[in-house]
Amino acid sequence: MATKVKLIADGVITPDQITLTTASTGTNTTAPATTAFVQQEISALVDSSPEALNTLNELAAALGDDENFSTTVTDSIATKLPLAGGALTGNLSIGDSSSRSFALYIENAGSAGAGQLMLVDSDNDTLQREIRTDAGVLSFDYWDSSNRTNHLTILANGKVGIGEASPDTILHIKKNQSSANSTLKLENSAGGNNSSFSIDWQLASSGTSAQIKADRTNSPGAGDTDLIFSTSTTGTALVEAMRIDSSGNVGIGDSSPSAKLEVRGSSNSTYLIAGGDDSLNGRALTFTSSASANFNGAEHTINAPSSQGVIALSTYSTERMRIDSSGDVLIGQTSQTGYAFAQKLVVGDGDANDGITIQSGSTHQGNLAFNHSDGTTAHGRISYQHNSNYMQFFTDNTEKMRIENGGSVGIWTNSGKTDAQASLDIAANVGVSLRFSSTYNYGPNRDWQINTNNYGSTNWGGWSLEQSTSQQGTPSVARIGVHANGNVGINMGGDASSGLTSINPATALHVGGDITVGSADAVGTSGTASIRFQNDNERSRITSNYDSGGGGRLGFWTDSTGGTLLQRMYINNEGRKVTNNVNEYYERIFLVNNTSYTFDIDVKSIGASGQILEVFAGYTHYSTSYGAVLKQVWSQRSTAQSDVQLISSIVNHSTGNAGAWSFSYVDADTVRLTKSAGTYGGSGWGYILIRSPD
Amino acid sequence: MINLIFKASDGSFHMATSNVNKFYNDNDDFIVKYVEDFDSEYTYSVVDDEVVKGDLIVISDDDAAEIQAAITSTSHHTPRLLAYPSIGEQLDLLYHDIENGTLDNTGEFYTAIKAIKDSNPKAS
Repeated sequence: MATKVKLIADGVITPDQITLTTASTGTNTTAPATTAFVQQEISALVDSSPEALNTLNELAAALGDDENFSTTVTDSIATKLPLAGGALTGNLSIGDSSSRSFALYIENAGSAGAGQLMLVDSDNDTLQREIRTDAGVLSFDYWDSSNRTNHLTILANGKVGIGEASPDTILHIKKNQSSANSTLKLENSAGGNNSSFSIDWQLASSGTSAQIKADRTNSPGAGDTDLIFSTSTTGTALVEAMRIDSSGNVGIGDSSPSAKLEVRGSSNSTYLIAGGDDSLNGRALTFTSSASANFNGAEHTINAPSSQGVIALSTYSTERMRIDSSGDVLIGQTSQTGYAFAQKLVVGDGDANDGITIQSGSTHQGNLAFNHSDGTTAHGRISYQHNSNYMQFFTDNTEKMRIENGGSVGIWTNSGKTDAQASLDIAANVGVSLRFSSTYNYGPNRDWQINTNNYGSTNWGGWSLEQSTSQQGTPSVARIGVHANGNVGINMGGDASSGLTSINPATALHVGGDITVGSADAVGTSGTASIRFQNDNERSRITSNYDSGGGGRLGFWTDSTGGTLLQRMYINNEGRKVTNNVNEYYERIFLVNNTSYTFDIDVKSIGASGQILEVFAGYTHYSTSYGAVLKQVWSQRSTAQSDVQLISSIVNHSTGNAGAWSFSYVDADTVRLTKSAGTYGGSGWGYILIRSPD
Repeated sequence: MINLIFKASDGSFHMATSNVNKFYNDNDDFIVKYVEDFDSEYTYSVVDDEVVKGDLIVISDDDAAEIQAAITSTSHHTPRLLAYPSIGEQLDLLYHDIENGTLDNTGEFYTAIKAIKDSNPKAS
């Protein structure tokens, strides 16, 4: 389109009289601007500004009609923290319009909710950390864009929880990980040799009441660190109570523990108290071993079951010893089964071989002493002397018995003797006794006692075997006594009170009763019981044998010049005596004078056929001149005529009507002697003697 | 120690003996007892099979006088008996008296016997 220009001279030209081409936006020439251009430029200037800011006035108003707005704004901006960061010199309040005196005040802008501060890793905005406060609880949480995990919480009451949103202590650390990662670590980055790090407790107005301190001692090697536990009795002065040194040794009361656990104290006090709450198996201390393959992992424990009041020591998980609530010590068993008066120490389980060994030096002694409350005196004692190998037994603090190394036993009663000089050496200062008792309730049972050297006895130096008169009574009747001179008395009477006084054997053997030699078992019908008499050799003997046909035969022997014992005399089972080969029948008789008597003589047993028999018979009244005598000689004829023939009647005499002896035959072997009755009464002794060479 | 023999019929004492003669063995008429002690001056009997020691034996004066008289009247027997020669010797004296024709009170036999009797007279 062609442009038309109309000039108007001094007149007024109205806008609508002029039509110009409207220049394009941004045209900056001297050509007149059309209103449209103007409008165009204004519109461009306004550029769709809000209605309220599309005029300079409105804009000026918006700028506060501040002609120095730029300065004002610049100055004002200069008071603000740049986006690029900088130092905020005043308090910052977020979510709250009130002026806060806090350097940073964050409040949930809503009507309710927690004040939150979210920290986001710009490299991974899904890993967020939130610091928030709600209902007085300050928590430090982890956000993984959808879930919150609490890591640190400070309750309104000041309790701090780490990993625990509801801490119930001042500091509550909760770990919810199965790993062995450290939970709490205290580091002194400036730590070096001899540096330390401690946790202190102050329970007083000042000072330190208790402390746990890690102390880098550098001993014995560089970097070695001990953990020291200290307490205070005054609230201020710390005293080391326990230490775990760099090697793991624990010292309680000892700052240089030399063992895994060393407990020391400076005074006589309790150093270690351990306990358990299991009523039956409360385990106080457990020791494990790993050195031995057999016992690897075995538990050795000291248990203290609370309901039992005992301390039990176990090895390899088996109880070996316990001290019960009464203080009794049991080894090898768990319940007291010992003798009621010796139960302080019971050894053995009752079903196997058990024992106690006292091991001493080779030149020293092992002792088992019995004492009471009066001090250190061992009133009773069993002692073994290793240098000489003998065992001693003491009562009343004096040795009473000893077993020598060779087995000799000495039993001494206040004798002062200290050496057993025989297999059994019993000694006493005054009188030695050895008693044998039987308590079996059988009436004839008696106690026996051997007494020697009875004090006050005239037989001092001898001994006696005495018997009680009742069951379990005191022996008081001497049965055998040996005098100091060696004479032996048997059943001579006497009692304990007189000792050997009344036992005074007159000969080497003095028997107060009968003597029996031989027995059915030892001799019988085929043997010989004898009593022998010896001078330089055996010179005499009395023997007893079973005689043919029954009964006994008593023989008397003496030796010949050559020393051979020969039987000189015997008395057979019919009472006949054979002396020096003279066969003899002898009978001593006591007769009543006015009575007749008959005596049958078995002549064949006295003399064989053809032998001579001498016959004597006599009787006297108690008056010496009043009696009857007979002296005859008989012969035995041949066997075929085996009766007896009277050869000679040398004397057949009677005085004073004492009766008379007479001779008659009974049968072929028997002769009868009779004495007729005398006239008067009275009586007297007599005899019959018939003898023949054997 | 001695054996006492009693009569079974009445238990009275019969005798004492050191050796019971075979006549009394198993003899129902007698009872044999063995005792430790026997005193001949006392009486003994058996009562209910037990030996009973009785009273001391006392000889009455009359019995003593009678016994003494008997003793006196025979007191010459024993000394004469002991003094007489043996029977053989007496027979030899008689032989000589017969041979010598002196078998009277002058002979050897009579003279020897008479001398003994005279030396031991009978008590009056």
